[in-house]
Amino acid sequence: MKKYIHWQTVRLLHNKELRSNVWNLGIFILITFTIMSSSLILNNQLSVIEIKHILIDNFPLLIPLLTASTILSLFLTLLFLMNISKEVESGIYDLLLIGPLNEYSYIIGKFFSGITIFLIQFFFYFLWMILCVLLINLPLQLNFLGLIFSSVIFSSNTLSFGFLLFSISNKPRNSIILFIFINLLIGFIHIADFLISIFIRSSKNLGNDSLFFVRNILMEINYFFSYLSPFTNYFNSSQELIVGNFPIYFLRVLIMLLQSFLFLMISSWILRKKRDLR
Amino acid sequence: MDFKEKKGFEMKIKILFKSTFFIAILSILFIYSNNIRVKGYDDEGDFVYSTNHFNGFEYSSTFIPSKIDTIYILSNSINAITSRSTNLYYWPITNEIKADWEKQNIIIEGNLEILKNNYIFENLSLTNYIIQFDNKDKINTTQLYYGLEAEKKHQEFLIIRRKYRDDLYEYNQKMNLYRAEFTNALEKLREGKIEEDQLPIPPEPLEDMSIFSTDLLKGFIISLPKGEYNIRLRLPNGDIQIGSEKKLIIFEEQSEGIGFEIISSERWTDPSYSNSSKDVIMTVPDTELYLKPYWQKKYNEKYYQKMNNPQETKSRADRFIWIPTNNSINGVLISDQNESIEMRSYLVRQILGSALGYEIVELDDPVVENPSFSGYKIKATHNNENFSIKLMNKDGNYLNESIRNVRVVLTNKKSVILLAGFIPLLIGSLAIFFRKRFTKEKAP
Repeated sequence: MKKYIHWQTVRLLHNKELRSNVWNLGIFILITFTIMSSSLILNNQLSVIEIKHILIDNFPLLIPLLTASTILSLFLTLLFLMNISKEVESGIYDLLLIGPLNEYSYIIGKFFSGITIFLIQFFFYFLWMILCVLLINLPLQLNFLGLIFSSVIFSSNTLSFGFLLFSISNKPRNSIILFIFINLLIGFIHIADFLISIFIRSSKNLGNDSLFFVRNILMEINYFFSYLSPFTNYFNSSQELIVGNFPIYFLRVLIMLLQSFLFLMISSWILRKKRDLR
Repeated sequence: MDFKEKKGFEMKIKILFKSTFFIAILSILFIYSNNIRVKGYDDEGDFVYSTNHFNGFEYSSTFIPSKIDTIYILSNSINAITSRSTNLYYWPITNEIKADWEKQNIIIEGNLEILKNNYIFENLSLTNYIIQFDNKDKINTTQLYYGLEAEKKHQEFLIIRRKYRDDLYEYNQKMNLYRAEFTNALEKLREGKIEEDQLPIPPEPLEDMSIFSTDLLKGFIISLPKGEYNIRLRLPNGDIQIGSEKKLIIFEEQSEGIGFEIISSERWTDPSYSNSSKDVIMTVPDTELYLKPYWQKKYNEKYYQKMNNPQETKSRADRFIWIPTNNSINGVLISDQNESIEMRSYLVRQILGSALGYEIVELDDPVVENPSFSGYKIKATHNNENFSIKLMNKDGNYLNESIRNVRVVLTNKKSVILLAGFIPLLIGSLAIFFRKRFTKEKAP
């Protein structure tokens, strides 16, 4: 491992990234945006209680938390891809690699700084959750800590996936477009599958053959994604934790961890190979 | 490394990702094309197994088409499986294979061989069976009878039905007579020839026939302990019926516990359900809640759902499902402040006047007045914002999985949590402002 990763340079890169990113108002705007989104979801749930006078749930902050982690992770990955893109275009990336920094250390350094920024953002979010529990008298279980852990692993998964896209793209900016495109595609498939299934069941003319074909294809793609997508792994692991199904929670978290590790190693290896060929 | 090698490597990477993508798409199309092999009508018919299986509280039926290779049945219950020939067709709305029983429904004679570890464990022949229950207490009276007992029960049912038909005829005759006498008596009453108390008395109404019974059916009776088996149908000529070899998974309940149907006084027609002791009942201050407990059993989600619909695809083997089984629970609800709450009967009645609404009134004598429901009443107040309840039986033991946490949610503070979102922005702005100022001061 020491042959590939120079921990001293990783630490230096990590500190440099933190300095340049944390003292940036955009990070705090993003936290505010995330908390506002979560507040709206929670307010909606509270409105249901006001209307129905009853709500059965064991952790009403779950959906706000999943939404917040998704927003924070996606924006963080985009931020890092943009930073890397700037570094490559301005020649800083090549300059860094002339010194003691290699591709493995570069990717690992970026990765850890990303995780640290996520933790800083998440700290504010955690305080907001505690405030909700104390002010509104919401239930809070001990397995909430497990949810925080899986949120961090999820963010590491999206970050490492972003790095993988960077490594395989010809131009760094293409990785940003590819990242947005893949996320939109997964979101579109989920929503389209859901909507078409509802439409077919509610349609009076009983749908038509082409619609059934599309529905079945989407269903199969969704099934395929359910084993690979970090979103599915994260959402499922959280749901399993809430109902107390710990083996599946750990299995899903392990899959995310392995994916992150593989993405990081593959992306570093590809970048190294690319440099060797220059 | 020269330019050629560099290009070659980039090409390899591109080809690797593109081919992975196309293999994934092709795999999906392959799986898809295998899954929707649409079958048209075929006069020869398709072999299927049909079941009348016990689902934990009653009998339900389904069929297993040839594309399904596993049958799921509950352990230590009496179930019937029948080998049949029918016409199958694809129903795209639900993406399922359906059977046209009216077009063809032929029982295929033979012996059902049940194998365990490749050895014949049981060899069953087709037997008569019947399912009966009393509608007054369906859960406790549902029974599958087979063999000679089934024939006996069938005969008994026919006698009861015949007697009910005769009684009904007699009652209708008496009713017609009564109507005629009543019309005459009413005429005489108007003329002042008789008094009101001399009006004829209507006949005693006939009690509805509550016994239900199926016809005498034919099937292989299966009652096995938990485990994995294989089944196949041996035809009278000694051959194995094509498509009859299936895996048989016999499963049992994982546990039993208490679930609650919860009604709020504000919306009694819209109940909520709590299946798990991990559930938290959240409500607003000064709400009265009525809890109706029921017994429920926990099963493996995939096994249970596939037992009732072998073609369903959403269930997972790593999850469980709670199924309500019985409503008759006698006990006392105990709160963590040691307050004991008895089950009471309640009547929901419309508020008199032009305003819409209803009120829930506790009944003193539920036998005289017909109650709308019975349950345990709890009240959530500001003084009692967080408490637990659990159900204790007559013997003083707490019932499994009956504990629930009740929380009074303070919804009036929801605007505060929205505003709290600006705190990080404020902190960040101040920190950046002071950092810049500090850096400027430090600069030479």
